Amino acid sequence: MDNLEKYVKDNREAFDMVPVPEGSLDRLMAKTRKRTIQIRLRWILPAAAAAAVLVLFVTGYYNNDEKLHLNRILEGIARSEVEIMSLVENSYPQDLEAVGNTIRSITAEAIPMYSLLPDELAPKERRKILDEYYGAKLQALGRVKEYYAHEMNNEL
Amino acid sequence: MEETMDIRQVYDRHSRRLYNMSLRIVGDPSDAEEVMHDTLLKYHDFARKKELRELSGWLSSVCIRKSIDKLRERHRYRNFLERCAREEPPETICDSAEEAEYDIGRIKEAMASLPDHYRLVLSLHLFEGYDYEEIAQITSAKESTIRTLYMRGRQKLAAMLKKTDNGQS
Repeated sequence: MDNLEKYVKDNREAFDMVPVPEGSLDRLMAKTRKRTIQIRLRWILPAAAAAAVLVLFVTGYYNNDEKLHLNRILEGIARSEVEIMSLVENSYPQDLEAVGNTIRSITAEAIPMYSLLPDELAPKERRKILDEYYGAKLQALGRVKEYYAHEMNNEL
Repeated sequence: MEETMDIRQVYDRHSRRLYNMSLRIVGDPSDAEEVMHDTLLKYHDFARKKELRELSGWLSSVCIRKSIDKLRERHRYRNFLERCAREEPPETICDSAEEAEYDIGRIKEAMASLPDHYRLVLSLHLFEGYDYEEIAQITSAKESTIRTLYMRGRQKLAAMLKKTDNGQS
């Protein structure tokens, strides 16, 4: 340890004497209130998406086998979305907006793939295409979740 | 209501330490206040508060990471330490054996006028007690780069302290 290191160590507390700027606590409290409202609002979108998926299948849009299979996949995607948002909301709220955008870019479909498949396709073929298409989305969501779970473990 | 009280208590106990820690690293009062707020907000939003082993250490580590992120934003380059170390030629400024007498105010002043990359490495090593390997880990730079930056920054700091010492006498 050199002289400077020793000097800093011996006088460590005296280096932390700059006062916090005036009004800082009020600004912090205003941020906490704003953040609480933002977080509540941001929940609406994934919840609405999950509800839309359920409504679609409750109304029986597809034939039974495909409906059940696709239902499982889409439920998995909706569940993943909610799990990630919940994880990020609790531990990385500052990332919530960015993560919400990422999730939307992964899951968004202007026209859902299952509605684009031609009727003449064999059920086995339809299932394969849907598995690959939605499976890639699930995998991408899994990576986002893994990343945040890993970050959280590193911080504890 | 309880959460609001909670964050107020944490603010009362830790805000000045966190603010000073960030101010040493980012060198700008409004950036340092923002980092201190973000650190406390992270605690406020953190659902697993009971699992934290040591609050003070956890807050410090969040504050340091956020301060480094602030410097990354400023330099628009994630690994700005490597870039700074590459771009700045090595120089011998003074023999550290001939250092001036130390004074808290002058050390703070000299630290504040150092370039970001030196200030960051010196703050983490001298003030926060991180070793080169730990600094390399949290800044994503090589350990050899951190060592080089520390040595150069340390020389620059010594030269500044010596200059103010000569100026005063």
